[in-house]
Parts: sequence; structure tokens; C-alpha cells
Amino acid sequence: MESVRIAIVGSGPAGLSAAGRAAERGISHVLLEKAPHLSDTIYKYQRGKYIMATPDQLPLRSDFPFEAGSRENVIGAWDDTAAAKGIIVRHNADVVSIDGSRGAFILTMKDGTAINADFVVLAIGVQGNPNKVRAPGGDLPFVQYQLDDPKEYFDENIIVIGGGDAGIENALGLAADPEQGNIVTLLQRADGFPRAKEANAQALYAAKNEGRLDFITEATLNRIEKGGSGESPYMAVVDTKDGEARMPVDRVIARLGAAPPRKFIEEIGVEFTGPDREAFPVLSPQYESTVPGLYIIGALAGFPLIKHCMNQGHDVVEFISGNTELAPPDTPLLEALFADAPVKRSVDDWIEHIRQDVEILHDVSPLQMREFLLSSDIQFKKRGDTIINRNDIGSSIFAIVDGSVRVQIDPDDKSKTVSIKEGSIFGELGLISGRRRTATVVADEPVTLLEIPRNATLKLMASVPGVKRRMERLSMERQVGQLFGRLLSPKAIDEILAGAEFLSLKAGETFIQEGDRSTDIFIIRQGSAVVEKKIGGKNVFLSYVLAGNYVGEMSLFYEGLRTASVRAAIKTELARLPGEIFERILRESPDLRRAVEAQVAKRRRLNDYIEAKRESFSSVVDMHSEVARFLLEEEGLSEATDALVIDETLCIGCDNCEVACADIHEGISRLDREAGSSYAYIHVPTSCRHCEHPHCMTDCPPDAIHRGPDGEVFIDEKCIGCGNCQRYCPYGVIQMAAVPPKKPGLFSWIAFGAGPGPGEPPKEWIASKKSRNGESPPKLAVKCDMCAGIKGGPACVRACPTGAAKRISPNEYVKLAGGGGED
Amino acid sequence: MAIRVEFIKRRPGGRVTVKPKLYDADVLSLGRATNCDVYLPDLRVGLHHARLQRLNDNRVRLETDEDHRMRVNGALTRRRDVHVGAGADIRIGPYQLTLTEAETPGDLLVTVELVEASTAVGEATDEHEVFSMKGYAPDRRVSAWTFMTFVFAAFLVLPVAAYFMNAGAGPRDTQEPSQIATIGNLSWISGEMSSAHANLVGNCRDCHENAFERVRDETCLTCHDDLRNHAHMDVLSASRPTHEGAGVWLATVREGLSIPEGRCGSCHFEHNGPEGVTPSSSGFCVECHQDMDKRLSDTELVNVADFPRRHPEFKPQIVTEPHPVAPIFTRISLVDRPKESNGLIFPHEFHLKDPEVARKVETLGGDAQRRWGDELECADCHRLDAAGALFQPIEMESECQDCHSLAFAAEPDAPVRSLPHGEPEEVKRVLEDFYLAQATAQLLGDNWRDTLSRQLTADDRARRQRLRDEAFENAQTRARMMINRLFSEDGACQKCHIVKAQVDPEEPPEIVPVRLTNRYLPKAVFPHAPHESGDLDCGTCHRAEDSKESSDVLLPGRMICAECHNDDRGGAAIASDCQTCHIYHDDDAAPFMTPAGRSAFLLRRTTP
Amino acid sequence: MARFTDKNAPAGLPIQHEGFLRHRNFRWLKIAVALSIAALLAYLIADVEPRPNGGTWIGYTLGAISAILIVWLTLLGVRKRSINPGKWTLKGWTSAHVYLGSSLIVLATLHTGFQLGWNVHTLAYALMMIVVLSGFFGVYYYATVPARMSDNRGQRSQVELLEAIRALDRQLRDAARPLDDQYVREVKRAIRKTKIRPPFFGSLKSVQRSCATDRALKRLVRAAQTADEDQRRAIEDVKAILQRKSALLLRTRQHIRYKMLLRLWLHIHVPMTLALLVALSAHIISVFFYW
Repeated sequence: MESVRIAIVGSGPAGLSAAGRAAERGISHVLLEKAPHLSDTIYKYQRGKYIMATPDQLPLRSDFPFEAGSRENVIGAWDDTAAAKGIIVRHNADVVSIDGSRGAFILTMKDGTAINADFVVLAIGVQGNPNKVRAPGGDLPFVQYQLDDPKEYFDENIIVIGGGDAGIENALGLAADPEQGNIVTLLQRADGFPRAKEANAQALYAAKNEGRLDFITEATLNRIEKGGSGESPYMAVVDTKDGEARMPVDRVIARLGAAPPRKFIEEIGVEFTGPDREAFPVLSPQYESTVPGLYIIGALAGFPLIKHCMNQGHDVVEFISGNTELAPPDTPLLEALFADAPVKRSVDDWIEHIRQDVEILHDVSPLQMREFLLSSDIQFKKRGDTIINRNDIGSSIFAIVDGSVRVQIDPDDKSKTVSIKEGSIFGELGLISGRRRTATVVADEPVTLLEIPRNATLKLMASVPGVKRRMERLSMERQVGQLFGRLLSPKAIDEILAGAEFLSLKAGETFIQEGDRSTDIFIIRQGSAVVEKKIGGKNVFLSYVLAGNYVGEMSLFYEGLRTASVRAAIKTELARLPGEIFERILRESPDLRRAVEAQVAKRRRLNDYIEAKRESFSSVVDMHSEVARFLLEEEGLSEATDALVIDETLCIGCDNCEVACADIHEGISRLDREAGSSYAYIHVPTSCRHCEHPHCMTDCPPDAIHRGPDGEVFIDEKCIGCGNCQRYCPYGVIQMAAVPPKKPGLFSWIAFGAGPGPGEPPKEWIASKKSRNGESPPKLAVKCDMCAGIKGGPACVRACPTGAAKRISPNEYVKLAGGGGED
Repeated sequence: MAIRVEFIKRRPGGRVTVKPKLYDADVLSLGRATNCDVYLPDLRVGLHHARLQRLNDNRVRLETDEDHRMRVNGALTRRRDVHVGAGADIRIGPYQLTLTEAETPGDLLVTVELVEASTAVGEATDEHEVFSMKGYAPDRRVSAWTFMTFVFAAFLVLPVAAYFMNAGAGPRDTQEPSQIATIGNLSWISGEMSSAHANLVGNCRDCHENAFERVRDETCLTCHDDLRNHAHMDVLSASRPTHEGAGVWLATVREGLSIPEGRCGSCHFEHNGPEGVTPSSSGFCVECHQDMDKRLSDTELVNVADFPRRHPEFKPQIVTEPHPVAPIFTRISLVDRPKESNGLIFPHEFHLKDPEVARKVETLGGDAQRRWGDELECADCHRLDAAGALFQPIEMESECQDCHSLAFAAEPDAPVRSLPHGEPEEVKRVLEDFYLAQATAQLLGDNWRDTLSRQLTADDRARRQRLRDEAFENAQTRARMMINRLFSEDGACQKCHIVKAQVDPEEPPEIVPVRLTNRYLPKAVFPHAPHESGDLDCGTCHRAEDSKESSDVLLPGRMICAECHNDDRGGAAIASDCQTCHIYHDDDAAPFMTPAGRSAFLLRRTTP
Repeated sequence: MARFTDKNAPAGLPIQHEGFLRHRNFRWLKIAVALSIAALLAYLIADVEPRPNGGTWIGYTLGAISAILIVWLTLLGVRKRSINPGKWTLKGWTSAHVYLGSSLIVLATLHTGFQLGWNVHTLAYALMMIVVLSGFFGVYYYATVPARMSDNRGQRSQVELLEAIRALDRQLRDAARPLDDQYVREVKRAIRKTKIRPPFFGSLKSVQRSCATDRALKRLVRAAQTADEDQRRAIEDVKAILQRKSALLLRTRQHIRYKMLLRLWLHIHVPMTLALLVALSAHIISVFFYW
């Protein structure tokens, strides 16, 4: 039985790099890859996919080359290096079990062969094995689990199984060009496409309406059998909710997701940090798992980024070969980070210090600490320094490592402050509500602050459940505090929080039903809600409640009867505070009661007003409610911070707004005036709303999307044109466009129509683009940036000759609507 | 014995897909209908367009239904038998079919391929095409340029060209500018020319000699060369008011617009219609005259603002000393009730009213009777002159003599002599001669021819001598007596004339010379003719009927004029501006002409 | 709470857009009126020799103001197209353009002193009047058409209108396959010969009637009554599509008409403006050329 010093399982970036190191050091090794080729996951990326080399600042420490580029280039380079370095690879070696421990591991393959190894480096990633088609005929050659290039298939009856993003994207790709003459059918087990991105699902429905493809929901593949006409020899038998359906099939593309490898790893005896799905194996700083001699690196260890993985691959071999002194490659960066600290500490001490001090970071592993510290910033402030100002735009959170700060709770009276102690955090409200900073924070004594950008924080919360838990608890505490001023005793707050329950609602879900009997109070932590009242059978829009406010207190004053319905305007995070507790607390603290009563009085006035006016103004009121519904819910202004709204009674369709936009943004208009829906002459064109929680930011590989100082969401030059943002944006306001060159002056055009007109790219440029429509110039994502930094503000509004164009933010809208809100 | 049909599709990139279909029959139907064996889904293909029938191993018949045709090997046909070996190209609508032998012997191979695009669907009409104004209205840029060019050529280039076409020859040049130039000039003319200058209309350069230069005074003076200045230049400038208040601002505006003062052009505006260029309002005069004393301390001119309200009483020139050669005129305001001494005795009242005068007139017979009518009126003596402005001078012979005859006879039956008027010496001589003649006649009455003197006695001679002497003696005294009577209180002369006391009895008495004023207001113009209108008569203004003395000045006062010449009277008002009576340029045109008459006059002179 | 009604009662819209006519609460209207009145008073008060016209000091003043105005108003065309940064809004400019432009009627007329003739000066005046009046049309259409246009267009964008028509054509092509050839001919004509753009004149109704699509439709309606069972089904399909298309065509043509209304006046306004500019310069030059 063959025996090596290091057995490396998985030839992904991590594994490859490890093998490379081993080969370099002349250590006997074997690289076990279950696929017939190296680094399967990346191999399976769609053709031409651009691969990032983030984090940029992190130095690459590996014997394999790696720089950002197309999938082909990356893989090509690796294959060459692997060959050059004489790495021993065993393909189609699917490891099914690993037994033994340091010095004596036995790895068994699927084909029964086994290998002895002193050390095992597990680099199998999280992709695991794609779920197979179990139905009879699933093993036929034309059943495949990936789609390399949809353009390669012509005139085929193709069945795509699985309504996830992968499946939908493949199906759309195959049906995109009618010239290909593919007949595409997508099978989805569930009813609808809950797992898919909204954008993708919509694209799919659109495609079906245009008859480009077909999909069957609540359908499963029963079997594939011979038969059918001369054209396609096989028939697929599909179970649908209305019986069995037979259809000719030339190709099956199954996108059924993959089984995470956790089970397999636990069998080996490796422990995980926790039970939750996101948990990672427990590892030493040298990546050694709880099984001595077995190292885990790469995505499996919680490092999705290729560069990390490659570095780890290199390091782990170094460790194994006894080089324990080796500092992680990011150390110099981290040292730089702490360079101007008043107290000198080693990077590791710092990390440990922060982890111990800052409450929310308690259950973050040192490795994860290192990672997010790279993207974070350490600040050392003197006493009295202002850290954030009220109404700043900013969504990063601050953790107080040493010292303490003061929060000015009353904008009018600077002296009213609350202290936030060491180890706590602040600025999390911006993170949650996506709105401007609510208070000014000043250093109370020399403080050491850790500023974590929004994305890093979200990543952290996603990967470390503990962080999420603590954050939620903390922010709730704060919100309750904010809402009820300082009127609540800490005890009371604790009590409420103890009873508090977090809910997450989809847009349009009602959580308070008019007429019900309940006194629960809801704090809107994220998103926003619409308060409506049934009047004469019609729902009348009362008010619009932004994140950070609470609803439901009215019932306390109407013997627990709900006087209006409240429902989520967009995806909304709520906290329910049990009514009885709240009632008791109200009884106990009269001034709190007064505060709440004041709030109630205001809302009651609006109620009565609507009631009173309903005859005289019914039409107005209806119209108002309708428009409110249209804007806030259909057009998603409820999550907007700044949206373009056009009055169609004024719009003459001159498209000067587009021209202006294009003119000011190198020839590409960021808005489409005509597109987008209208109601009662209010037209919301397709242009960015600068959402509180921008969907486009969800997954930007180069992290090129940011919120600017004026609250604008913009894409910076790091964009690589992957198109993720475009797919994520539910309002379709991001376009992938080639950026045209600069153009000459205006006069020649006005006078002689010579040269490009306003907002037009140069003619020859257009021509050149038309001619080789095959591969047009590289495209980048472009979107509205609110004309940030341009004097006079958004060009679209300035350039509207009739005043039809106008930008509004929901706060304004709330004011216009005159209801609730904070006025 | 089967027919194999292959549907061929070509893909971008030269890729070809073939979908074979096998028929075990001898007849194939081709068409648009779904039930056709070879289904050709295109609207250009008939429902059951054609059928392909196999006659035997190597012959095939192709035929279409009655209302369609096909191309077989390029030929348009309804029916055609083809030899399988030879094969055939068939064209049905957009489809290309080829008919050949298949590999498997005896089988027939038909390939079907769509070689044209299927029925064109409204080819992707370009949005900008459909929704553009193309075809509805001409392109804005084009029409803009067209209009601009036209206007530029016709209204800028042409007139400027016209400027260069006819050189500035001044207003006196007579040669007519070319047609085209005239048109160009006319297109720039800013308003109708005054009738006076109408002849200059064709050529701007007659007056505007140089481009971008205001019309120069010299140019005006080429014709109006005899115009004298209103006053001496520096007096003029001295009298011009220094602007204050709003005036300052106004003046600066004027200055800014370079409308200089003191030019011909500052008062005379051309291109304002035929009414002429003479300013019609008092504005310009009043500007200086309303407070002239402020600036000209030594002037005796009284300030004038407007006629009815601020204008001095008339100051006629009055004869104070009717000297034969140099009578003395003094200007005395009517306020001071001036008396004239014009040397004439003529009570208007008497002549106009007294019945005796009437009776006297009746006694005249013949022509006289016809001329004077039965009683006297102003017009009988005062007759308008040609210009209709003033009156012909009063002459003794024509106006007075009919009544006041200078006829003279010694005895009633003696023949009548009339004495000459105006020469007392002559009168004396006439009378002396007359009486001497009379005496001589008597002397000759004695018959002394028959007796010669030597025959006479001394006594007779003495008596005769004495008689002679008596006769001449007598004649002289009679003559002297007659002269004295003539010039005496109740003599004929003193009816009208003042006779000085006699110094030397031998000499005839001296008569005060008569000086009648014919123009009282030398600085103003008063045309009588235009005033003879409506119920106006002389009496309306001149109080002659009750003037007992010829020393009365019968000139009406200012207020009488102001009765009518008063812009206060609104609609009924009659021009009361300075120009109505006064003339700015004190030229030698007959001063008493009406403004219209003047310009006519001046015009007559300027155009030879 | 009053805000609620006050803001929305008039328009019924909870979002108030301030149109170019009401810009800054009619600021430019006020200015324009003030300007006109001032000019009128000046004209009446000032007594000038020999009569009010362009040559008098007030004439010059009014003329200068008008000329400057005209040039400035013309610059709107440039402003609209040069979106350089700055605190301006085109709306404000339009507002000023409209009201000051209208005040020109007063200013320029007073400038002429009612002295008109067949010359460049009156030409300039006439052109100006044409421009201003055509401008009034523009304002009228801008104020009235957009709402109607939006009603007519529904939620569709004009490209979508065309797309829809094309899609229907495609459907026609396929749906017509089973039809008899005689009908197919009609359908083919309906597909190929349908002109979307209505002619300049003529009511849309008549345009519709003469349109190939409608003819085909009529034909098929007649056919439907006689046709046999299986044919009828096909015919009914095609008929339905044709009806949809015809309806769509009507909307599209209506849309084109509206767009025409919104633009046509510009094809007078703009060229005349430029002609005016030249005439104006000629006018000014002539005045000082023959000073």
C-alpha cells in the first residue's frame, strides 16, 4: 500500500498550493482529486468567468501563481505549474474515509484502494458532491451537473432540473438565443422559486411569457426512457401535480445543489465550533483540527477567498514540516494597523485583547479575527475628539477596545449625553436601519476604537452566529432606550428584552390586524411599515412608519383593541414586546406613560382627522391611500433613501433627463424615463432609489459598491463587470454598459449637427460597437450616483424643462403624506 | 423504395443540423397545412402547395395545386417530371428542396432548407424613425439655416452692398441709384420720408454720407445754406439749460445713445412721415426759454413756458416819431397802452359809423359807388397782400381820394383842377399860375389893339399902366389867400394831416409826414388769411369801431389770441406752440409766411 | 394636520411637483408683468420728439432691453443641452423663458412706437411676434398634452408599443398558417403593408379605416360567418390578433400625434428664432450704419 508523508485531499487552490509547497520542499506527498481534472469547483465556473484576487492588500504566499483573470487563464496557469513542479496527483480519487491519526492515517478511496499518510491536509472545500439525479436513466451520458457554455447547444430538447439560481441561470442561458433553437424546460420541485434570487425568478417568468422556455413547478423527473420519434430517441417522464407528462429529451442539466461535506468530516472525528449550519471546524492557529495530524484549510476552514486558501496551503505544509515560527502572511498588514497604538502589543496579543474586550467578538475565532481586521480600521482618539456626527452617512460600526465615549442624545442640548463603556459598540443603528447617524459621539477619554465596515460586519454576523445574537440583543437594548428615552430603568429594559421576540416579515405581511385584541408593541428594527385603517370598506393610508419607531401602543389606550392594521412595506425586521409587560411598566413609570401618550395623541389626531374628513375628502383620501400603496410598496420607495419621481401631467417626454444624465456620466444614461410603472400620473422611472440596504451590495466580488457621503450608492472603478449587482437589483436600475470615450464640444452640434449631440457617444464609437457586435468592448456596471459631487445636484432634475422630474426621499414623502413619522 | 426527407438548418458558425424523416410511401404532399408530409410553415407556401409522386424507380412527378406554382431547376412551372438520376432543385416559397438519390439504392433523398428569411415581420422599425418628426416637418436645423441665409442676404448683405454701389454724392446729386440698390436701401428705411425730402428716398447716402456716422449738419446745409443761426453760437450754448434731477438721467441716456444736442438732427427728425421735419411742439424752445434769465443775465427776453399761460403781452413796434426819413419805432408792450404818432388823422369810428360818411359815399357815383358800396367796411381800405399774411399799404389816391378829393375850382362854373397830393410846393405853384393866368385874361379884355400907344395920350397910357399893375397885384393876393385857406384849420389837408405852424408866409406850411406801421410784431408771424374763417371778422380782434383817434393801437392783446390758441381747450384747441407764430431760424424768407408757405418757398429755391 | 389636505386636495396627489408655469410661485410671471407695466408707464409718461419710436431715448432703451432679452431667451436652447454643473434648473429657465418671452410683446411693440412698414425693422418685429405666438402654442400643448399622452400610452413605453405590434405580427404569421390562401394574402398584407405612422392630416379614425390591418380584419370578420368549423377556429384566432393589433395601432398613432403636438410648434419656433436673430442684427446694424 502506497504511503506518503502528506496526503492532500482536494486539489482546490488550498490543496494545490499545499502540494506545490510539499513538492518544493521535496516532501513525499499525494494530491487526491475526485474529479478527472484539478480544482473542480473553479473548473466548473461558467466559461470566461472573471476570478477576483481579493483581498488585494493580502500578499500571496504560494508556489502557485495567482492573479485576477478569467477562469481559463487561472486554471491554465495552475495546470502548467502543477506539471512543472512535478506534483503527484491522483485523479478520480474520491476519498470515502480517513482513519487513524498523526503518523498513521489511512485514506480509502471509492475504488477501494487506500493510502497511508503521516499527515492529512483536508482541503475539500464546502462544495461537496452535487446531488445526483436518482430517477432511472439518471446515469445516461446526456445527464450533466454543470453547464459550461450555453452557446454550445443547438436544436436540443433540454430539461433543466432545479429552480435554484444555478438552474434558472442555465435555463435562461440556453433559451436566450432563439437561433439556437433549444427547447428548454425547467423542472422545479417546490411551488414557485423561493430559493432563487428575485431578479432571476422574474427573468424566468418573463421568458416563459415570451415563450422562450417553459417551466413546470411542483414537478419531479420520474424517469428517462427510450422511444420517441426519429429526432430525439429519449423521452423524459415527469410527475406533475396534474399527472404524468412525457417530453422528448436530448439533454438533462441537473442543478440540485450539493450535500455539505460536514457529515463526512465529523465521521473522521473533527469537532465543529457549534451545531448551527454555518459553524466551522475547531482549529488551532496552525489549522490543526481536533484530530492531531489532520489539518483543515480552505473554504472548509471558513476562508472562501482563493488567496487565503493558497496562503494556507503554503503555510500548513510549513507548519507540518516544523516551521512553527512562520507568521501568517497578513501579519505585516496587521502590524501596520496597530502601528500607532499608544501601547505596544504583538499582533496576536492585540487580536486576543480585542476579542476578549469587545463583547460581540467573544466567539470569533482568531483566524476570523485576522481576516476581518484586515478590512477594518483601528482608531486612537484623544479625549473630546468627535468620532461620528449626527446625520453623517455611515454604516460602519465602532467597537470600543479601550476607554469610553459619550453619545449626545439630544441634538439641541449637547450636555445631555449617555456614556458607552469599554467593550461595547456603537453606530450599529446605521448598520440596521441604513439611515443617517442618529447622534453625535465624542470620546470621553483616550479611546481605542475598532471600526468595522458594514460588509465586514454582515459577513461576521453571517459566519459567526454568536456575533449575530449579541448584536441583536445590543441593538434592541439601544432601540428600546432610544424610543422610550431614558425613561426606562435598566431593569425594565432587561425585562422587556427578555420577553422580546424577533420576527422577520416579507413585504406586505400584516402583523397588526385592525379589530384584534392585543396590546403587544412592535419595534421596527429594519425596513418600514404602513399603517392603514378600514373606512367604509376601503383601506385608508394613515401613516408610514420608518425603522427605529414602534407601533401598536394605541391599543393600550383602546382597551387592547387594535384601531388600525399595520403591515410591512418591505422586508422588515420586527421585535415584539409582550403587551402585559409593557402595560405593567407603563403603570410603574408615569413619565414614560406621558411620553407614550403624547405619541398616541398625535396618531389619534390623524385617525380622527381621517374619520372626520372622510366624507368631504373621501376621493382625495382614497387617491392618497392608493398612491401611498403604489409608491411605498409596489415601487419600493419605502426602502429608498432618494428616488426620482416624474409627474406625468408635466412630462413632455423630451428625455432631457436621460440626455442630461448621459451627458454628465460619460455618455451613458443611468435612468430610463419611460420604463417603470405609473399610478395617478405619478411615474417612477427606472432609476436608482439608493435603498437603505442596497440589494446591489449583496454580492459584489470586488466590493466596488459603496454608500457615498451624500447617501448615494455608487460603483467605483474596481468594478469588474460581473453583473451581480444588476441581477440583485429588484428595480433593474443597473445596466452593464461599455463606457464610451470623451466627446467634443456642443456648439458644432447645435449649429451643424456635427459630432455627438448632448448625451450621445461619438458616432464612430457606436459604429465600432455595432460592427463587431460579437464581442463589444468590456462592459461595466453603471448606475445612478445622484450626481454626487456635482454642483447643483442631480442633472436629471436640473435638466427637466417642465419640472416634471423630482427626487424625493420617503421621509419627505411621509411629511407630504402628513401622517405619523417624526414630525 | 422509401423517401428520405432531410430538414437542414444552418447555424451561425457554419454548423449544420440535419433532421431526417423517413417515409415509406410513393406520394409526398408539400405545403403549409399541418397535415402535409413535408410541412413548410411559411405564408408564402400554399396550404397544399405541391405533391411529389414517384412514377417509377427513376422518375418522379412534381405538380402543384391549381393556384400555386414552383420553380424546378429555375423554371417556373405547375407540373414537371424529373429523372431521379439527374436530380432537381425545387423552389417553393422561401424553401429550397433538392431531389437526389439516397445512398441506399432505390431510395429518394429530398433535402429541405429555408433559404430566405421567413415572411418578413415589420422589420424592427427604429423607434426614432417612427416617433420622430421626420416627414411631418422639415428638419429644424435645415430650415433654420435657410431662413437665416435668406434674411442675411436680403436684409444685410444687399443694403450694405447698396451703400458701396452708390457713392455718397450729397443731397444735391441728381443721378438715380440703381433699381437693386434702391430696393436694398428701402428695406432699411426706418420710416416714410418727409414730403420735403421725398426726392432723396432712393439713396441713403444722399444724407447719410458715411456709414456709422450721424448725418452731419454740413450735409443739411448743402441745401439749407442760407439758414441763419437763432442766435450767436456761444449765446445759444450759454442759454442751454444744465440738466438737473430727472433731466440729468435723461440727458445721460441721450448722451449714452449719442443723441447729441445742438445738431440739426436734435430738432429735425426725418423718417417720421410726410408731415415734415419741423418740430411741432414747444419742447425745444421752452427748454431754453422757460428760464433763460437764469443763464443769460443780460437778456431782455422774458421767460416763456407756453403761450396761453406763460408768455409776455405783445410788444408791438410803435411809431413814436414819424420822421420823413428815419421814423423812430419803439417797442412798447400793449400793457402800457401805447399811442402811435403816425402823422395821420383817421378816426376809424367816424369812418365806420358816421351816417355823414355814408351819405357822402352815396353821393359818389359810377365806379366809386361800385367800389365802396353804401357804407364803409375794414376791407374797403385794408386789402390783404398776396401772401395773405398782411395788408397792402394804405394809399391816399386809392383809399381816400374818392371822398377826400383835392379838386379845386375858383368859381362854381370854373373848370375843376385837382391838386397834387403830397407836394405842398407843387400845390402853391399850381394856384399862383392859376390866378396869374386869370389876371392876364382880364387885361387882354380891353380893346387896345386899335390904338397904338403913340396915338394915345399920356393919360391913356398912364391909365392903362395902372390897370395892368392892379390886375397882377390882385392875382397874387388871391393865390396867397387860396393857399392859406387850403392849409388852414378847415382846409382840405388838415382833415387828415397835421400842418405845422407857418414860419415864412411866402412858403407853404409844412405837413407832418405819415408813417403807417404795416408789421407790428417783427419777431412773430401772423397770417390774416387763415383767420378769416367761421364767424371771425376784423372786429373780433380789432376794436376799430370805437377808436376815435388814429393814434390808437388796434393790435389785439395776447389773451384774445389765447381765446383759441390754447391747448387747454382740449379738442377745440388750436396749435399754441411757439412754431405757430415764431420762426427759429431767422432767415430771409418772407418772415410773414406760414410755416407751410416757408418750406414751400425754401424748397422752390433749393431745387433750381 | 392641515398640511394633509392643503397639500393634496388640489391635485389629489400626495407628491406635489411644481411645474414650470408655477415655478417659485410664479416668480417670473410677476417679474415679466412688472417689466411690462414699467415699460408701458415709461412710454406713456415720456414725451419725446417728434413722436415715440425706436429712435427716441426711450425707444433705444426698450430696444436694448428687448434685444438683450431675445438673445438671452435664445440661449435656452444651449442651456438645455449643456448640462454643466451649477445651481441652475432648466425648469427655472423655461419659466423665465415663457414669461419674459411673453413680455417681449409689450416691450418690442412699444419699441416700435407703432411705426411699421415694409422694412427690416418690421421684419424683425414680425418674426419676433411669430416666435412668441408659436411659443404660446408650445406652452398650451405642454400644459395639456402630457396627461392625455400618459393616459393613452398606459404603462407602456413607446418602444414597447412597437415591440408589441411586432410580436402580434409574429403571432399573426404563425396563426395564419392554417388559413386559406385568400385570407393569407390579406394577413400578409396586414403584416407587411401596415404603416404605423399616421399621415400629417386626417382623423385617426379614417387612418385606421384605410389601414391594411383593419382591412384584413374586416375581411376575416366576414369570412368567419361563412367559414366551416375547423377554418373558423383558425380565423377567429387571427381575427382576435388583428383586433388587438388594430387597437394597439390606434394607441400608437395617437401617441405619435401627441408627440407631434408637443414638437411641431418647435419646428416653427426654433427656425424663426434664428431667423429673428439675424434680422435683429441686421436691424441693429442698419440703425447704426445709417446713424
